Amino acid sequence: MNYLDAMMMVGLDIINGERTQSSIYHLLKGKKTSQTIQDAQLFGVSPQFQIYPALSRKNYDQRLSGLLQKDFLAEQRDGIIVVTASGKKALSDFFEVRPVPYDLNGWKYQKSAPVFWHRLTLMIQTASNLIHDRQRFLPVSRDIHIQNWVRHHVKQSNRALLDYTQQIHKELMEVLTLTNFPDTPELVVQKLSGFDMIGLTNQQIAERLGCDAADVYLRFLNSLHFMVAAVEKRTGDYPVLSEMMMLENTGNTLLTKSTAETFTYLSKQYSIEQIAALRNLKKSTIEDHVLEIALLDPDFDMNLYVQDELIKEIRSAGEDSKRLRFIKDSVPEADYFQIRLVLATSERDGMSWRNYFMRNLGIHHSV
Amino acid sequence: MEKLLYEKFGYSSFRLGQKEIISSVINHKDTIAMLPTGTGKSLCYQYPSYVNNNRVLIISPLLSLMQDQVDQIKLRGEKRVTAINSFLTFKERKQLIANLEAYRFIFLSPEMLNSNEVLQKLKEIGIGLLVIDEAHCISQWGPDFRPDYLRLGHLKKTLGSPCTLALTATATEEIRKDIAKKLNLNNWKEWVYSVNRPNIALEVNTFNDVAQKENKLLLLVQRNTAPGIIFFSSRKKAEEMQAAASARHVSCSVYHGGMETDQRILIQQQFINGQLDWIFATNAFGMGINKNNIRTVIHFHMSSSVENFLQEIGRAGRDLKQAHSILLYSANDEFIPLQLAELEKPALEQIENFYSMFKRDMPINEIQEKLMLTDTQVRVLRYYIQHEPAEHWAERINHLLEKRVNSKKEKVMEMKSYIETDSCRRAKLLAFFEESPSAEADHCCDNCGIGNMVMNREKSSYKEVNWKEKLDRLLIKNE
Repeated sequence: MNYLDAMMMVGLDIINGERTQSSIYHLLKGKKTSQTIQDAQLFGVSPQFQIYPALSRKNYDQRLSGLLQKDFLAEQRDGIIVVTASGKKALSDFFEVRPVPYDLNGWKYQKSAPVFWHRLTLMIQTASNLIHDRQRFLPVSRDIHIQNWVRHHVKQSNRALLDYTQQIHKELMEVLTLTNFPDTPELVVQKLSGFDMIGLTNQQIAERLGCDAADVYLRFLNSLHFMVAAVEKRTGDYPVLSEMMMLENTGNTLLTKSTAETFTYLSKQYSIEQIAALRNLKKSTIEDHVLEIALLDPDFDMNLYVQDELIKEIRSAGEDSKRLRFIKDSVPEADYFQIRLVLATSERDGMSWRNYFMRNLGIHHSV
Repeated sequence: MEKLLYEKFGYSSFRLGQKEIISSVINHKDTIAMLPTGTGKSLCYQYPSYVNNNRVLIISPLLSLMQDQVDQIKLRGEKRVTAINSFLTFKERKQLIANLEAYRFIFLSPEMLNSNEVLQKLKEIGIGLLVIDEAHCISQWGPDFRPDYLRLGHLKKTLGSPCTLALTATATEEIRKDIAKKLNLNNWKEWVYSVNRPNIALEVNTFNDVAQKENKLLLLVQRNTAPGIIFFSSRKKAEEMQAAASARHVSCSVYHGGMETDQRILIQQQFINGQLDWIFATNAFGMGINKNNIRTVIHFHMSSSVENFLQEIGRAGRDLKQAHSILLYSANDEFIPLQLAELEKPALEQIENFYSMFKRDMPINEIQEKLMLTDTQVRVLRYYIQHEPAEHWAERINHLLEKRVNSKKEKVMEMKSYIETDSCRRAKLLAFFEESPSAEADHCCDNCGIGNMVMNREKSSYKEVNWKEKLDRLLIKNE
C-alpha cells in the first residue's frame, strides 16, 4: 500500500457508495466535467482534485483490483465499491506512521501550485547560476511560458539580483520553518537545482528518506500546497514568493468553455431561464454551469437563487446525509438546484477533508 | 575561419573533417558527411549559417535528441532556434508556425513532413540549407529505416532544392549511394571519415549464465572507472540491476523512456554535473548529451547491430582520452534482438486487415487498437498504403517487410560475429565499413591484449548536504 492506494481508499470511503468507483479516478486525474467538479465539492473531496494528473486508467484499475484482492475494498454491486472494516484499519495503520496530507487542496491550487513550483525552481536555478557568475546552463524547465516569466523578472531585478536572491532565501527559510510545516523540508529543497547542484528525483529522495517514490510525490504535493496557502495568507510577508504564484489571467480560465459563456450572460443579469432559451440548452445544463461558477467565484451571490432561511435549513439537513433525496425530503420547499448550490458552496474550505481523518481514522493532527 | 569559430562557438580549432565539410557546404555543394559519433557534427551546419547568413532546416529522427540539440544551441547563446515536433500542443504549434521566420535553426521531426501547413510555411520563409541528420534512416537497407524519411525527396523539391547536407555516423557505401539517390543529390561531395575510435579499448566477456553476468556487472561498477553508462535492452532489468548496485553503495540511477520527462532531465543533468557515477539505461540515453569524460560503456545486452553498437560506445571518450567498452555476453543473448526483429513485423493477416479497414475509412487509432499494432507498425503500413499501388498490396508489403526482418536478423548476427571473433575486434568492426585500422591503438582489444590502461577519474566537487545547507549553497554567494 502506498499513498496512491491510500488516496483512492479515502476517496471511496468519503463517497461511501453514493457514486461509482470511476468517479474517484476522474477526481484524482482532475477531469474537468461538471459532474466531477460538483461531486468533488458535494462530498468534500475537492482537495483530491487533480492530485494525480498523470494517472493512467490502467494503473488505477490495477491498484483497485489489488486492494479488492486484499479485501480492503468490497464491490457491492457493479461499479460501487466501498472500504471494508479491514480496509479502514489498514488506512488507519498507514497514516499512523506517515504524514496525513491535510494541506492538500487540489481544486483550489490546480493552476497556481504547478505554476508557482515551476517558476520557483527555474528562478532559483537561474539566480543561483548568475550570482556564481555562470551565464549559461541547461534549464530544468523547458516550458516557454515559465522561461519567459523568469527571464522577464531577472531582467527587472538585474541591478539588485543579489538582494533578490537573498530575499528568496529569506522567504523560503521562513515558510519552511513554520511550526506547522507538515513534513520535512527535504522534500522541497532537495528537488531544487542551481549552481553546480542538480536537484534529486523522487526516487532519489525516496532512497534518502527510506520510503517509496510514490510517497515522496504526494508528501511533496502536500508540502507544496501548504506553502501556497501559507504565502497566500500573508502575502505581505512573502513579496517574492507571492508574486510567483500570481496567474496572469485569473477567474474564468478555470471554467469549462460552455460555462464561461453562461458566465458572460450571468454578469449581464440574465436569468437561468433566459440563458437556457437564448443558448437553446436545457435549464438543468445552465444550472450545472451556475454551480460550477459558484464553486470558483468567491464573489458569487447565492442569494439570487436561494434565501438565507432556506440555506440554513438545507445546511442542517446536510449534516445528516449528503444524499440529495434525503435533504429534499427534509426540506420539501427547496428544489434540487438550490440544495446542490448550498451543499457545494458550504464545502469550499475543504473542512470535511480534514474532519474525515479525525472522525474516521482516529487520527489527530500532530503539532 | 578560426576567428568565427572562436567567437560563435568558443573553440580554438576545428576537429577532424569539420573544416572540409563546412567548406563544401559554404560553397553550396550537396554533401554527404560521415563522421564518427561525438565528433561535432552539428558544427557542420551551424557554422555555415553564419557565413552565408541563411536559415537552416534540420530533420532529426529522435525526439529526445532533438530537444538536447536545441538546448545545446541555446546554451552557447543562440536564441533563434526551435523545434517542431509532437511535444507541442496544437496551439503552441500554431503560434510557432505563425512566427517561424524569427528562427535561424529549425528542427523538424520526420512525421511533421506530412503537414502541408508546415511545408508551405517553410517554403514561404525560405530555407538556405537542408540538413538530414541520421541520414542512414532513409535507406531501406539500413537497420533504422524510417518510412517518413522517404518524403525527404519531395520536401527538397518543395523547398526549391536548397543545398543539402546528409549527416550520418555509420553508413556503408551501399547505404550512402541510396541516400544520394533518395535525396536527388546532384554532383555531391562525399566526406567519409573512419568510424574507428582508437581511444576506446574494446573488450568482450562471455558467460554461461545470466547470474554470472550479473555478478560481473556489479563488480565492474564498483571497480572500473566512472563516469560510465550501462546499456540494457529491457527497462525492468535496468531497474533491477541498478537497485542491486545502489545497495552496494554505487552512485547510480536508471534512465529509460518510461520515466517522466522532468525526472529524466534531472538524471541527465546530474550525470553531466558529475553527481552520478553510473547510468543504467536503455538506448534512449545519452545520444545528444554533451559529456566529454565518459570513461566506460558497458553493454549488459548486446546491441541489435554493429551500427548501433558503434553509436553507443561512441558516447565514451569524446575528450579523446582513454576509454573502455565492455560487452557482457551470456549464452543465447542474441535471442532477444532476433525476436524483437521478428515481432516488429506485422503478420500477413494484420496487413490484410489493415488494408481493408483503412479502405473502409476506419480511424487509424481504432485500427491500431483492433489489430494490436505498435506505433512503428502503423507508421510503416500507413506510409506504404499511401505510396504503393493497390494491386496485391498486402502480399507485396508482407514480402517487403519480410525482407527487412531478414536484413535486421543479419545485422544481429553481424553483431554476434563481433562477439565471437578471436582475432582483432577493431579490425572486425571496421571491416563492416570496408575499412581497416590505420594506426595502432595503444590499448586495442582483449584479443590483441589491452594491457594496463591508465584512466583518470575526474573528481567532482558535489556532495550531498541537508536542506538548510543546500539552500545556503544555492542562494548565498561565497566570498
